[in-house]
Amino acid sequence: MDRLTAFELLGLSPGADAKAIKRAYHKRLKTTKPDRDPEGFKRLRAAFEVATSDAPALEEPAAEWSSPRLTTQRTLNAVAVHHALDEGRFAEAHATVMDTRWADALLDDPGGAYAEATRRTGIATILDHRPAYEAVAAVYPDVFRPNDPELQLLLGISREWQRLLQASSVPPEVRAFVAKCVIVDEASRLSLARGLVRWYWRDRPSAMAAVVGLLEDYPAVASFLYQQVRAFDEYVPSTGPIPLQRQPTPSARIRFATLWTPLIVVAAALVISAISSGPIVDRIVGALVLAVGLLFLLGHPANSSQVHAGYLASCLAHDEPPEVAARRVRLCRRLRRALGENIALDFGFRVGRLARLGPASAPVEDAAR
Amino acid sequence: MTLREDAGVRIGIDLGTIHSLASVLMDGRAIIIPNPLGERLTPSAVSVDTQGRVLVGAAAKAREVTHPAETVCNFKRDMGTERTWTLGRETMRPESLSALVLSEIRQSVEEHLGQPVVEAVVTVPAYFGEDQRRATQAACEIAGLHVERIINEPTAAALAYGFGNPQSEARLVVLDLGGGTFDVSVLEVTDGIIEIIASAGDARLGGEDFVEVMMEQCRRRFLASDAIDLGAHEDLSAKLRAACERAKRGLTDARDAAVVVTGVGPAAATLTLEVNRDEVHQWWAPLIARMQTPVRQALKDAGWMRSAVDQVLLVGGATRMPIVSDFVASIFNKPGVRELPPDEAVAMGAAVQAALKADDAQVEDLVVTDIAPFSLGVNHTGEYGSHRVGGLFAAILERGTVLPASRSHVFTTLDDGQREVTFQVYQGEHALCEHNTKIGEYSVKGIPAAPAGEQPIEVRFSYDLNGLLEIETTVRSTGKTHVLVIDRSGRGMSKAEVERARAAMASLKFHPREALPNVAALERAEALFATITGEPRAMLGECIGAFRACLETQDGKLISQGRGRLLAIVDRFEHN
Repeated sequence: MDRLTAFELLGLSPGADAKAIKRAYHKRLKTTKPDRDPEGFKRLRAAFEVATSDAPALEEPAAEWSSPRLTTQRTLNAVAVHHALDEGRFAEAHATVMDTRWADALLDDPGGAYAEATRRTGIATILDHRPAYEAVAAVYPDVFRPNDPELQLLLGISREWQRLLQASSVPPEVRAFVAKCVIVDEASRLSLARGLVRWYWRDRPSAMAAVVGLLEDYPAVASFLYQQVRAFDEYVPSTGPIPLQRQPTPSARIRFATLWTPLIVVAAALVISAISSGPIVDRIVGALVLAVGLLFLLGHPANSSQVHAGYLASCLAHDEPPEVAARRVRLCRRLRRALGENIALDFGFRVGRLARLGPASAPVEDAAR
Repeated sequence: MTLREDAGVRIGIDLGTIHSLASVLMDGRAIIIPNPLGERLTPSAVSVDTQGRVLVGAAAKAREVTHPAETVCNFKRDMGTERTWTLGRETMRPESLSALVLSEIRQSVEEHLGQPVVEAVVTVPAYFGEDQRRATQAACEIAGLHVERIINEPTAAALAYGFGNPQSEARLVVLDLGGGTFDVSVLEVTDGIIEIIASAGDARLGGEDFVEVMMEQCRRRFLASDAIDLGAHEDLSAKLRAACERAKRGLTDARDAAVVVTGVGPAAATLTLEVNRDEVHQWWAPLIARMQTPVRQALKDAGWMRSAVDQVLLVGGATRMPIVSDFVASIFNKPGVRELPPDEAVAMGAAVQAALKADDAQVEDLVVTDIAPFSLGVNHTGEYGSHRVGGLFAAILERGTVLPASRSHVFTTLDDGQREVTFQVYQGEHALCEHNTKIGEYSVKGIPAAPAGEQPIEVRFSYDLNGLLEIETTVRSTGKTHVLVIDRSGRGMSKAEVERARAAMASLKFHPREALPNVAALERAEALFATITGEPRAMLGECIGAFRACLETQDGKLISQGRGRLLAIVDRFEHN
């Protein structure tokens, strides 16, 4: 192929510069894919090669390779930070970041890289202690926004949250926060589930609380995580305090405490009053029994996370759309705040039942498939 | 969704030295398909149990520690060779072993997606020669997979990158340091157009070599300090390998690590060696020095200065080692980037390629051009005065040529009245044919008698993306044309051999697939048992016993509970 034909094929006039040639080649490549049109591609490629044949090829002199290394201090700094981050020496990384040398080390986008490093070290510092977390959160209020897509991406890439979820020294609130941040892709979701299961193995109530916390904003993810945790329960039924699986309506025990105990107490008071003679004794005994009943109620071990976990379990066990479950948990929470825990719980169940009878509202979301 | 229910799925498979995995493009994303154990990576390991039944994957990998003699790993490194292994009563070639892994992966995918696999794209290291590519193709045929395209691993990684960054415009170097191979590719990404410009590699340099160097050094230290040669027995060296691998991983996150080998000798002694990163990096220095050669070669082929490189993409599990980031920084003066999960990028790219091949709408704007990794040519004889030198290699289609491509070369007769010419087709870079790989041979007859050198014969090579080589030989004076087509299928191993291997595979007894999770759990627990000591070991022993008792009851629910409990314990010990 001569040069004239080559340029013609590329739709250029001879003498076009290298950039134009490349652009023309790329443009035609989109319509002449090597897979689809091999012969056309061969012609196009030949034209491109002829058109660019007078461009000089660069080759680095061999001496360059054997001469002292090209690496600059800037690169060494950048690599040192990478290593420090990889190894979990976050304080050190943070110090390097703070150091002005870091800005120097960032070759293309100092601002962006600085922000990223700050975020990464900021998040990671939580690992070590709570004061640090609080300090960082105070200094960089923007760093800890759960819905920040950039933060989510970062967490997804660095998989740091997995470490955060697994480390036993991290305060539960922080872990709940991290669990809330992570809505990235299926890969992250799976490994999040793995981290969560480990957390669950150590501390079931707070792990469940984190799942419940997710339920409001990310119903699909929450129900997926819940299924993972439930699968874990199936495998390891004998360890841990809340065997959710064996108790598909976990409310039973708690409801007994909230609903039946007062009734029994009142019945007992009535019986005592019937068999006793003096009106004063009657009243005193009745009051005593009632007091015992109330004490029993207040001291009931059901805490909010257990309650929510149980509630979530029962909703999901009945194959309800996670969104509906989420709405109910929200309602239940509001009630709890208003009425106190145990009453709210029972009330929540009743409302749930009613809601189930009511008209279907939100479109059913495919749960984390 | 662009998957047609009836058509089945097209997947990408990364057939690795250590791990293999499959990916599929769905809803605009490359998704890794987990195996029945829920894991994303399936170890490339094959083992037979005492009853002669074949195990593939995690269960087999765990048996590497407990039953090294009945387990084969790392067979990818021997692809294209005649090496065989004896497993139980079977003698297997690397093709058959790879086929076992491939068919395990295919079954996992089909179970997971509920659709048949109609086509797969399999990846190989860029530096795999034609022999190894043929062997890979043969493995696919034995496994019953329909594979038309075998692509290079760095190309796949670049595809995954280009697919994820459709807008980017960058000059990239992909460094792929896998378990057994090291590949370098130089490429340009512009607006969804991915152009591979050059590639080079070292077919025998990978993460395993780092472990082996470490093993050798540790063996020497243990010999000096405890007077025990851990290389003496297969069992001991398997334990040492496992210990070194763990220490290597430990050194990724920490500056120090310990090589702990348990159960040595009749007294079941525990040997411990503290190693630190600087020391180990010194041991590895020769390997790192070897990594420079292919990098240099690839940049030279591309005609790039090092400073022209915008980004260095790191792929392959072994690039997690800090020494590799140091290496990248020292060469390119910038830190390497792990934009995609290093273990998964290649499979993801293969899935993208599978979609590209099927003209999937999800990859409409993506174009990739790949190159010939080796030169192709024929033998010829040079005449220098009265001297004749035979067996010279005449490269017709040079390495780095963008595919598909056609190139031709004109030869002439050597003797007066020569009527016939025999061409031998070679692949390689050496000036002498004997050092290159022979991939075919043919003769052209019926050349009109003429004085030497007066009968021009044109040889035209057309090489396409599927590795199909068409050789068209024209005797100019008569216009007669001889055409030879060399494709990958059925070479290396002949068709009959492939059929025999398929039949042999069909006759193998496999562990029932539904029992696989149980076997894998048990093997993992037993492998762990062999490497730990003290109270945890006793506890684990109890659990293994209890699980065996569960298995004997054959009560599905009990077994699944027991398995869960056992795995939970194993997980806990493995991570603490």
